[in-house]
Amino acid sequence: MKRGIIRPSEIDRIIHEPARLAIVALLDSVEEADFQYLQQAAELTKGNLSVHLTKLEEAGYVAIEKTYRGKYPLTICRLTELGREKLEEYRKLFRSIL
Amino acid sequence: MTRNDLICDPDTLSRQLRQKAYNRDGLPEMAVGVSFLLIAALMGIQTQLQHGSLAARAASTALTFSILATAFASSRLIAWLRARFLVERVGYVKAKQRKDLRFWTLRIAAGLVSCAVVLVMVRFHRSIQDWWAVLGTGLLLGVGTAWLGRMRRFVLNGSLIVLAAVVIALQGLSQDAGFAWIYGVTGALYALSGGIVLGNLLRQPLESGD
Repeated sequence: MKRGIIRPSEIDRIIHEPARLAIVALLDSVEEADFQYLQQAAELTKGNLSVHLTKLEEAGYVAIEKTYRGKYPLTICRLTELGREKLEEYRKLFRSIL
Repeated sequence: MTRNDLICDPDTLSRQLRQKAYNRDGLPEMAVGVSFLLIAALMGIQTQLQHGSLAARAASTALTFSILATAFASSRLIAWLRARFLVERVGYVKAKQRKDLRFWTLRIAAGLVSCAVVLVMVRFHRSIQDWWAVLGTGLLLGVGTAWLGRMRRFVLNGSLIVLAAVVIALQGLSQDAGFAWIYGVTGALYALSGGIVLGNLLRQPLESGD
C-alpha cells in the first residue's frame, strides 16, 4: 500500500460502515458495554444496532453475552481480539492517508 | 462519493461519542455545578470575615478540603447513581483500566499545570485590577465550558457565563465578592442545565428490553 493511495479492496467493509465503525470504536475504548449504552452513544435505533451487532458477531469482531443485573436484562458486548486487530489495521489505514 | 467512502478516525469518533454519552443524563454537569456553588458559598463567607482571622482560616481550609472531596467523590457518586437508578435509561458501561504511561503522564502533567496556575493566581491576583481579574476568570470559565463541552447547551452556558462576567465586572465589586458571584453564576448554570437534562431523561418513557 502506497502512502495516500488506498484500493477499495484494502478497506475492511465490516468495520468501514459508519454505524459499525462507531460501535467498534466505542467498544475499543471501554471494557464492555450493554445494548442500551451502545444504542444511545452511537445514536442508533434498536433495530439498526441489532442488525449491526449481529454482523459484527458473525464476523467474530464482537462477543455478545446475555445476562441480568438484578431484574434488568443486559446484553453485554465486548470487542474480541480479532476485532481489536481489525480496528488497529483500520487505524493504520486511516493514518496512512493523512 | 457516498458517506460510506469517507474514512473517519476511529479514536476521534469514539472520543466524541463517549463524551456525548457521558453527559447524557446531566449528572456530571450537576456535580460541576455543586462544586462551583460550594466554592462560591465559601468565598462569599470569606468576604464577610476579617482577613487572617481564625474563622477566615477555617473557611479557607474547609474550602480547600471540600473542593478536593467533591473532585474525588463526584465520579464515584455519578457511577453509583447511574448503576443504582439509571441503568435502564442510560445503559451499562465498564470503563477500561488505563495502565499506559502516556495516559498517566498526561494526567499528572495536567494536574501540575492546574496547581501552578492556581498558585500564580493566588500570588498575583491582588496586583491585578479587580474588574479585570473577575472578567478574566469569567472568560476562562465561559470559553472552557464551551470548548470542553462541545455541545450546544455547553456553548450556551459558556456564553451566559461570559455575559455574567461582563455584568459583574462592571459592578465595581471587590475581587473576592466578584469571584463569589462569578463562581455562583457558573455553578447555578451548570446545575440548572444538568437538572433540565436529567428531568427530560426521566420523563422519557422506558422502552422494553433489547
